[in-house]
Amino acid sequence: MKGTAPLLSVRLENEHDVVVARQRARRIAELLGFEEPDVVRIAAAVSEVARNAVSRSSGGTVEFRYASGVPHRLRVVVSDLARDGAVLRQQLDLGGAEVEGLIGCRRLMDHFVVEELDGGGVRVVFGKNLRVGHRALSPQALLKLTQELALPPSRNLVDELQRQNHDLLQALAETQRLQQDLAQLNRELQDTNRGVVALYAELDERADSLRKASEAKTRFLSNMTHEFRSPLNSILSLTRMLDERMDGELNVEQAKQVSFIRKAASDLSDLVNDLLDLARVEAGKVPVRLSQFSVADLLSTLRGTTRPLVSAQGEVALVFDEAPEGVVLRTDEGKLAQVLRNLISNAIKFTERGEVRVSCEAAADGQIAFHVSDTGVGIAAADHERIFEEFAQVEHPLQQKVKGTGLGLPLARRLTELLGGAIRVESEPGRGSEFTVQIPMDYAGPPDLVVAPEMPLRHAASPGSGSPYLLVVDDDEISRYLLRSSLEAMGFAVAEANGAEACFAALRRSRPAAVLLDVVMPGMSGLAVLETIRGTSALERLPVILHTAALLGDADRQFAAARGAKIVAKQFGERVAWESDLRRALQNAGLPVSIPA
Amino acid sequence: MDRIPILRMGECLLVTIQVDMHDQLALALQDDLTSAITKQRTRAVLIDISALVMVDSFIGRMLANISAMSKILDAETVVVGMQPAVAITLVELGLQLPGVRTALNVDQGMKLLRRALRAT
Repeated sequence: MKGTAPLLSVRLENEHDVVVARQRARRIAELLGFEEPDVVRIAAAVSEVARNAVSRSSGGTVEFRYASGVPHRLRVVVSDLARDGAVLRQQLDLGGAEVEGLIGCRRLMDHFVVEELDGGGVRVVFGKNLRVGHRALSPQALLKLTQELALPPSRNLVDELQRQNHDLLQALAETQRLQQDLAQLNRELQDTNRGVVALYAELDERADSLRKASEAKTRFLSNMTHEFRSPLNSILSLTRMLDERMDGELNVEQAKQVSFIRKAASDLSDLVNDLLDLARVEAGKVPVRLSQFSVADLLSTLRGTTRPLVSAQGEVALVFDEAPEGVVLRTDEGKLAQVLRNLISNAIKFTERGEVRVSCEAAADGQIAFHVSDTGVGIAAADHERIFEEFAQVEHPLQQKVKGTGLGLPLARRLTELLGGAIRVESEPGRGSEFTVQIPMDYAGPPDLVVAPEMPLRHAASPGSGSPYLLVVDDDEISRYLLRSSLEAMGFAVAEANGAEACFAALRRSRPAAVLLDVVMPGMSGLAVLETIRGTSALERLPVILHTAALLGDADRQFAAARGAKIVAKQFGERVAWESDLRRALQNAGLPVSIPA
Repeated sequence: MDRIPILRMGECLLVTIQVDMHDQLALALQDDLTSAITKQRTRAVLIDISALVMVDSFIGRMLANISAMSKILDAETVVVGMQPAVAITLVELGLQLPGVRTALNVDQGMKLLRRALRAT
């Protein structure tokens, strides 16, 4: 290939451009592969000619070209606008101080020509040959070379330093700005954080006050219920005694009146018991009493207890599907029965005609599902959740007719949850409802108490020994009366005290075999009396049974347990359970209990 | 405007040319150096051109001028650290640098200056 390729062009206007031109010349020479002495020669030559052009004319250009041939060479063309070409040539021929540099340049280069241009101006063309055998530059290499040269030359060290300094300062300023931004952001984040913390504190406060309100409600409920329960139990027990003609015959009217009283008291008692159960579950004070029982047994018991709810001539049939054979549950039978009873009685209440069907099936994962479906009024989807709220009753004509406490379903749900299960409802108005209770077959939660099989009771004290005497301390006369009659039936002698003072007086007189102590009493509470008894050295080991209708808190229970006092719930209404509790407590205290005839 | 720094080292003025000088800068150095010689009453000047990658006739003349002026001001000048390629170019350009004493490096240059100072 023969020809020339432009490499770079530098404008000449002042002496700074001379410096640029010679620096570029040096770089081009290096890139083309000239050796160091030639590089310096070329730079010096370009410097001389460029200076000459700048000093003689107002400006010009330096062009660098690559000429391929034999040999390849770098050609430099310096053009200016001066009109003294002829003079210059003459000077070069004659020699002189002004053209000393150009003459030297002619010596340095392989090729040197001064030309006058037609339109005015002088062109100095000179070149340096590359070493023979130097390989020609390919177009790609040339392109790369020109691209490299196109990059701005670093003018000199100081400029470069200044530029770098400037860059550095800018970078520093930028960093500072970023730092300020960061600080600002940090501040904002801190503010936000403070806000969030404050919000959390507020939420905590709210939650706390809600918890307190809920606790207060529960406490109120349990206290109120307790207050209702004691007199109710008394009424129930007394009417039962009357009804059973324990103290003489009643005439027909009296018997009817007593049975009405008993019925009313029993209804009220149900309501109060539901309330109390709810309060207990909410307070987390309901123990799960585990036992093993078969589903078939449970359902047959339920069938027996719920049959009276359906009127014989009514248009509602209560159907129990065949229970799966041999399925045994290990959970709290009483609570499960209570849940199902609630659902069944509810279903019957809201069904005017058709049937109420109870079925049961083992579900996956060791769960068992009970279904109570009816063909009753049904429940709108919007009310599916509301019916589980306390005292919530759905507006319906039938609702006016049936009486209910509004506590059945909430209690059923709470109890189901207590057993580790869930209750759900599917219903449509007019189509009936189906309630499903699903619980684990094997209760997994921590059992509070495993009921031991009923122990054979020991017989009364051996003949000859006087009956042990028990001290009953209660401010309520009816309670004392009911307790006394039961205890006497168990073969004990009973002394009564109507409060703390009377109790201490009786204790001073003689030491009983045990003390049955009411907790809620005017003046000194049963717990305080217990403390006083334990503080007396002679009575340290006296058996004390706390007999109370109040729900004791954990702290009170621990207080009692630490002082060796047993607790028996005062529930005259459930006489069998209550007497059995009482008997067990007395036996644990080491007292001989006789089975009443 | 940029200046080439002139440092005093004992009785000696030290000029280290680190940048590619344009002509005005070279002329400024010439002026600065002569006035420094008179002001500081030094009798020795050492010019280090080891960082110069090219010396053309103008810079060569400037170096020769500085030497000549210093001599008139009763100061000795030594140019040190000239690169071989630069030397070749200077010779080929036809610059002899008359009256300019040279040395290979700064050490040699200092020795030369001391000797010259003792001699007078």
